[in-house]
Amino acid sequence: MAATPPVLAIESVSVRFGEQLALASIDLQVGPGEVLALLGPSGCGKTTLLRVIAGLQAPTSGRVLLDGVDLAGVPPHRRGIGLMFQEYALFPHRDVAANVGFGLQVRGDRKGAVAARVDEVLELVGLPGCGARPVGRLSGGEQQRVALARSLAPAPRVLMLDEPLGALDRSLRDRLVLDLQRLFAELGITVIYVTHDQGEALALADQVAVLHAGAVAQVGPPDQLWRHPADELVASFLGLTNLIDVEALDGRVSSPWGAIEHVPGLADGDHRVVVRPDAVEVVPVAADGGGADLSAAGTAARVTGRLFRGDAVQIQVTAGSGHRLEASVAPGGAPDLGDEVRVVVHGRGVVALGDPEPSGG
Amino acid sequence: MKPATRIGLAALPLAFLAVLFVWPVANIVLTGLAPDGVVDLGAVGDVLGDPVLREVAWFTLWQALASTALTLLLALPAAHLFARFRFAGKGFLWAALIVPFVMPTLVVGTAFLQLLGPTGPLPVDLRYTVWAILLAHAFFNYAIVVRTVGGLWSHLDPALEESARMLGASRWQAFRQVTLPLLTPSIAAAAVIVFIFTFTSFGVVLVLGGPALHTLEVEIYTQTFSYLNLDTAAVLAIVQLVAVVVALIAYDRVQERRVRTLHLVASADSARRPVGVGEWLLVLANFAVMAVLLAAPLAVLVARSFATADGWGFAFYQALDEAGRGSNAFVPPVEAIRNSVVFAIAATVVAVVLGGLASIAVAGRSGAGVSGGSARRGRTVRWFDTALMIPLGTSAVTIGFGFLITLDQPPLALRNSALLVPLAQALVALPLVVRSIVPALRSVDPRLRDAAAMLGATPWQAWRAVDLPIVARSVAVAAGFAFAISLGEFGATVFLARPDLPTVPVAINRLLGQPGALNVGQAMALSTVLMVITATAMVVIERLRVRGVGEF
Repeated sequence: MAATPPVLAIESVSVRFGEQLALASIDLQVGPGEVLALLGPSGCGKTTLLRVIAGLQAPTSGRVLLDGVDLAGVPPHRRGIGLMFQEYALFPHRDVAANVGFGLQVRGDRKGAVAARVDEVLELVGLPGCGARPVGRLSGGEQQRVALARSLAPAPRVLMLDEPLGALDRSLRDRLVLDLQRLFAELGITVIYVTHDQGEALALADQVAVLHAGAVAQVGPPDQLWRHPADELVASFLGLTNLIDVEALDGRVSSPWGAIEHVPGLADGDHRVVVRPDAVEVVPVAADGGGADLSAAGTAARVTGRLFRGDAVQIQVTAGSGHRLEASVAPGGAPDLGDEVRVVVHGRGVVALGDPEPSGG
Repeated sequence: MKPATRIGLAALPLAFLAVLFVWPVANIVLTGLAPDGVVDLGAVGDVLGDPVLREVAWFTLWQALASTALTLLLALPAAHLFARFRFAGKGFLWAALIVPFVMPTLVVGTAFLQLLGPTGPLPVDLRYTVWAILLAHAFFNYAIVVRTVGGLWSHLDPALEESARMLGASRWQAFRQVTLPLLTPSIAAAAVIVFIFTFTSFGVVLVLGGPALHTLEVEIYTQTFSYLNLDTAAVLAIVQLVAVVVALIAYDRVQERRVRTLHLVASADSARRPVGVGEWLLVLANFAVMAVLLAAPLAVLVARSFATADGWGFAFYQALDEAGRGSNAFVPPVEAIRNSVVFAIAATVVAVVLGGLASIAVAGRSGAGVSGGSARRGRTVRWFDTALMIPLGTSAVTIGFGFLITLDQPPLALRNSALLVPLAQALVALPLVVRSIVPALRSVDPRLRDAAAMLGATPWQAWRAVDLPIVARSVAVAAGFAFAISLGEFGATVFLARPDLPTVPVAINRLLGQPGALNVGQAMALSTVLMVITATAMVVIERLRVRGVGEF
């Protein structure tokens, strides 16, 4: 990334609304053709950051550089940055084509050129020939595509998307994530993608920046975040909620759930680690006691929660000591609520936090 | 709501409209078209052929168009200000804006006479010029435009305009191509209302137009009282009525187009503090317009009421309880205040009771019914809704004139009854009452009633828990409106008030018609009193108003 200069650089950007610090000295860079996801809960400042980059909100301090040029004082419409709004903000008084062609029309493109480009981008988003439809009659997914086409039409240097799939239902979202992935790859466009959904962020981004309370908690490629979340907060945004305290000594790791084998690279000392649900093995205790020898391995626990997810069953187990873990097991042979089980934690699913915090949090 | 219930509720208001509106208007039409019982279009021909009267009609039309244009020009920037910016005192200013709208026309006319006259701050004397009329009309109707357009504007998602900016549109392009088209229906609606009000303007033109400038409304009054020329007055009233009905139909069309699927947001989310020199200039320019157009005339009025020959003092106020002695009012002016308040209370009671019944009939949900019936019922309801609006568009002078020629013979010989004034005022106030209550009734989410019912509430308990708190406030607001309108009503009252029972506007008119500093000073003092009462009523209303509900 250091080899090519960044397209967009955010340097020490802070925004203060009265007493409240919305953004605290943000530093981020996006390389050409890169997809940067801003991940965080609502109110973490990600939309404010988008607005600063867009020029709709002036930063209290810091600067935004596009291709090395400071954007301070450049009005939103001269920045060459596209922004697709949450809820899309389609113009209700214009049809699909007039929405998509808006950016071209205001910059004075000839009618023929506008029409050709509109057809081109509608084709690209999978809505060929829909130009004459009124936007009020579009389904949610179609609105999303029209908004995307509209943002793409003027070929912005950077495209920013604010929760582009947030208003859609689950199954549609999964399909559109694939579409977006293909589109970003095809166009090679530089993208900033704001979302609160870790699945979207991990699937689409080259780099993920986790924002919390107006600051960047961690930034890096998805697999790096997944393998080494910086802290509990980042881990929980990534959907990693199984936290246990362990003690490592000479490569042996002990935990409330017994000894854990084959934990990769954990230095001696106390750690708080994340355990992925699929690395938690839940063994039913046979009623006749025949398998007593085998099931003696692991910690005795009881099933205190059970959610059927279709391809897997999510099990919550509680040990006699009161410790809890979540496990993901295959539907066939999953224990029932209230069953006595033994729990084994496998080392391959243990993720060390980058910067372990003292326990108690 | 069952159709029978609806008809039952609507019966009394409809009867009221039939007797006090339809019948008098029909009588005017008969007087104009068939003076001696036989259809005789001679009077119509005479009037339409009279170059003086044609000049009056032409002036009425163009001054109304010019007034509407000027009002839009001055008020649209303020609509933007209220819709998009947060600033200190915004809530108060929004409430205060409505005060000019309900100020008595005669008082405002008098105020502008002082402001624009030779003793005013301007280097030119604009009295009795069309400029005075246009400015006074802008004063009255400023709030209509700001509230109608600003109300919608504040709920337009700012993301629409920002979206346009991000696609490369300049501020102006974004406004011109995105915001303006979305606002056009509400601008058109406001423009039609302002046009109707200024087309039928009476008090303002009577005072500021001088002898030369007459609107149809003033001409109807003059023909009736100065020349006792009832045929001509009737024909002029018909001409005016036709013009108003055409405008109302246009309004109805515009309202229909207004229903567009807009993604509306809470107004609090769309306003922000102004940033930069340009935006602060916009704020200051708007403040300047409000100060000069709205505050200055009223301030001058108040100042004049205290400016006696011996310096500042209460002499004009003290003189209000004396009859005669240089002024030739029939009764002490202070009695006019008492008359006004009594009449206004009576009119308010009538208007709120009838308007309340009518509102429930208009707003009530059709029972979970046969799908086929609902469209027809919808049309009837809409027809009733529009019928209730017509008195708003009909000139007050027409109503007063209609009463005069209709209610002076059996079976309703009310000519000399004190009842006439409050009945006429109630008729004028009725549309505003309905417009205040219906939106509140409709704003109640029916799911809340359903939720109450599912929790075991009887329909009556559900209504009391869900509807009443909202509706009670809107009824209070409607009552305040009706009271303020009745208090300042002049056009109809001047026809109907008995000489021994004048209202404040009638007394002001008499005082202004007399020469002498004392008379003018007393008129100023009376105007100030009326202004204070009216403004107080409006401020109380604003405290009660459910945010964003109600059309004016």
